[in-house]
Amino acid sequence: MSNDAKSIFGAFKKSYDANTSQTLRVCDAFIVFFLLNCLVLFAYCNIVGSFPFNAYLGGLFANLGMLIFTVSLRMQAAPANKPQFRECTIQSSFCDYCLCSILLLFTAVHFMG
Amino acid sequence: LQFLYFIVPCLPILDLKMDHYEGAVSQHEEERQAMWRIITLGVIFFVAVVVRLFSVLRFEAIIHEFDPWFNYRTSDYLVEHGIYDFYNWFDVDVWYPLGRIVGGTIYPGLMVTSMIFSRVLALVNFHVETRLICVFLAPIFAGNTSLITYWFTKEIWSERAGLLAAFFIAIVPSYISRSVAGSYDNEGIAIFALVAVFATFIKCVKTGSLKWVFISVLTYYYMVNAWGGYIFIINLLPLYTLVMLFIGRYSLKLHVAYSSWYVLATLICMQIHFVGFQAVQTGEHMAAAGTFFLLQAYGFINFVRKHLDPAMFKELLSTLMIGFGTVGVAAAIIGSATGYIAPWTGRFWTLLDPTYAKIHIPIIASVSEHQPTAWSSYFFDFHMLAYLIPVGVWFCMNRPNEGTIFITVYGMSTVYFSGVMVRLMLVLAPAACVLGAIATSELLLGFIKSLTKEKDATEIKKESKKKGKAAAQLDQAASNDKINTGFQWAILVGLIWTILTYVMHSTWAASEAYSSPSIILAARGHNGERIIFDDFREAYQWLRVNTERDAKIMSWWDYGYQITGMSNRTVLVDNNTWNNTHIATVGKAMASKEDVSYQIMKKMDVEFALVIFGGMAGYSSDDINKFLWMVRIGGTLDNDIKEADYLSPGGRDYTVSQSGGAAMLDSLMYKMCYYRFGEDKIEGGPSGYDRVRNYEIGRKKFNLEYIDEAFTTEHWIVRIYRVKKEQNRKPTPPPNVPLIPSFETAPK
Repeated sequence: MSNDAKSIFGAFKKSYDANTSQTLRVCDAFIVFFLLNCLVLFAYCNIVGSFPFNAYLGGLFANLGMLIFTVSLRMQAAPANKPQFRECTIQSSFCDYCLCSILLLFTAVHFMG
Repeated sequence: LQFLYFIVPCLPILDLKMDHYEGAVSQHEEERQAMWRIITLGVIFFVAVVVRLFSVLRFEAIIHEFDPWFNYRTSDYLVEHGIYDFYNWFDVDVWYPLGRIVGGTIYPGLMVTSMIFSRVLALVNFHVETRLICVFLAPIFAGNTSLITYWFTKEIWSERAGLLAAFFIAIVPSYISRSVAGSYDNEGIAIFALVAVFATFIKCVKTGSLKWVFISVLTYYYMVNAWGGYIFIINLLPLYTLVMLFIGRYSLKLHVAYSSWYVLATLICMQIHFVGFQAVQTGEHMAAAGTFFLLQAYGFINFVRKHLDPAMFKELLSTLMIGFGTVGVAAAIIGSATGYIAPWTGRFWTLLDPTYAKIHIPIIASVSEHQPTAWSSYFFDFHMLAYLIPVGVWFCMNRPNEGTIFITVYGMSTVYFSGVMVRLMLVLAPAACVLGAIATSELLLGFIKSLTKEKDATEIKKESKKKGKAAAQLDQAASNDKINTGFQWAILVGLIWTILTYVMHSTWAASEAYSSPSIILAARGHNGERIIFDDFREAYQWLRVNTERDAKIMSWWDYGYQITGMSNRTVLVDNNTWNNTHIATVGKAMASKEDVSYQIMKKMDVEFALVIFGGMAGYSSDDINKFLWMVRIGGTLDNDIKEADYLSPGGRDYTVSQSGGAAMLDSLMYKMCYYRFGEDKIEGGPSGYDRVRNYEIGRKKFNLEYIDEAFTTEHWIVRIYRVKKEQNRKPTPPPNVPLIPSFETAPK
């Protein structure tokens, strides 16, 4: 079983290394970072307690939101997906990403109180 | 004005003939089309505003009904005191002695919109009274709704369907009913926001761009500010996403649109105090969260699949699915078992099981808007759209894409919910207009096309001679499939005639059924002259002028908002109905004998009691007709109050005649309504003849022991009583009672 897991993971890693450009790797790094942040916040809340709840939600949603936006940016930026995102150039995608991030972080800071 | 109504439906039809169906259009032609479009939309906006002005023309620019008075009072407070005082306002004049945290229990969108209008107009030195802004806000937003529905339908189907949809929604009676001038209620702006959210979300799914997510979320923020019905949106969009997943239309654009929208929308809707943490803690929002999680799982699995060959992926798939499934199910079970995720409230259980409210929560069941819908309401409120909805769905199913699947899901779900509660017919209105417009547009287009092609039949015959026999046979078969020309003409003319009758019906419904202010009544006298019953305002003005500023008024909860709005006095209960026990206390006071009620009224510091009595004027929505609900609700507090005691003994009739129940004829409500009523003979009839119930009342002569009549309006519709103070000395007991008082007769 663990051999299978190792071989699957190895095959995945090989394919990933071969097919992923630098831009997408940066996005993936950010995605992993935000995901880890979410998990840390969740664990912290469960251990230490959820007061003040609005601050916890603010932090959690900020990270979750940035995670989702980076995933969206990655989808729009990947060259394999170009036929699906006909109206999005890389510049407009990034601009929209910044716009949504500003709204998200502004709301999160407002919510944290 | 009637003439204008006949022109309006012709404009979209003219627009159909104006453009060419096939081939490119020239620059000049495009500009002409744009001009026609602007003119048509301008006329539709004007019609949408004007059709809602009947009550202003007939009576005056006054706030209607009950709920709008609270909205008006809060808007006035906001305009006067500013936004910080508004958000931190603790209202001590309502729900005495509890008070109400207005800032945290209100959807502020409507009030803030009025304030913005007021400030913008003041900037250009137009100082408009808040009352006028509030009265005319809903018609203006109805015009806006027409424009946004035009854009929405253009995104889903075509420009022509868009114009028809705008025209339909401008005058659909269902929407008019909640947005006439004077009906200053949340739905007036919320339907505009609802269609805007849907339109921008469809744009998100069609383009997959985060810019539209940004715009859509801001629109959604406005919607959550405006109305509690945003719950519908936050459940419909996940339903739509699930439907798209299940029919195999998952796309990266859908993934981007829904995931980003969900995270941003949930965070932003928690900024409103009234919603607060409900967005992550109640069952109503969990469908959206579950769909979000499912979508991420699906996306991740797809991502992994791209990097592995099929055999390896198959092995991994089951592990991944079990992993995600366990996390999801565990979260759901732990959430609902520990009570962290609040279960669905009673209001939403009623949507699934219509009999739930009658058994468990009588207050919800007693509201007339919450009753199940009758079939006739569909025709009355939608006219031709009622039967065009399925036709529109059929056309959408023939051209499935993101937009048409959305409108089908929206239409079908609202058709179900509108059958459960009359009030939800309003949410069906935009879907009905869009689907009806799609159907009408395609039918008109199809028939006009085929009728104009008929004239070229002889040319087709010449062409077929050139093409050869095989082609000729195909042409022949095609022309045999066509419907008879006369029949086509009949359908086309019938459809256009139906549109004209739609206009006539909608105008008539707006004028006769939906333009009554409820606070002013009108009737025709013998000679046909108009008699105005302005009793409500007469009574509230009396209260405003003749009572102390801190006087407490007891009445049934229907009139609470009007009393605080117009008389500016403290009330015990009002239309917010958040505290069932407090309302039950008032119900018990109304339904009990005078001495028991007196104790309750003294405990609540009540100085004046107010009842609505229609027996003299023939006004049928009075408190005697609502009395059984007071008994039922009061009975939830005190088990001694049983409904059976108030019905006639032996029979099961609810009556105030001589055969009425003993508890009924002895109740405070009966005494307050019929005091001195038995002394008058009305127009040659017997004394004490109740014009609403149409019989003589049971008890005609009685005295009031604990209350005094303070004021009765001109047509006896509102009757106000003053609660007497305790006497210095208890009255001497009647002869055959022992001088030493027993414990039963001593006051508590």
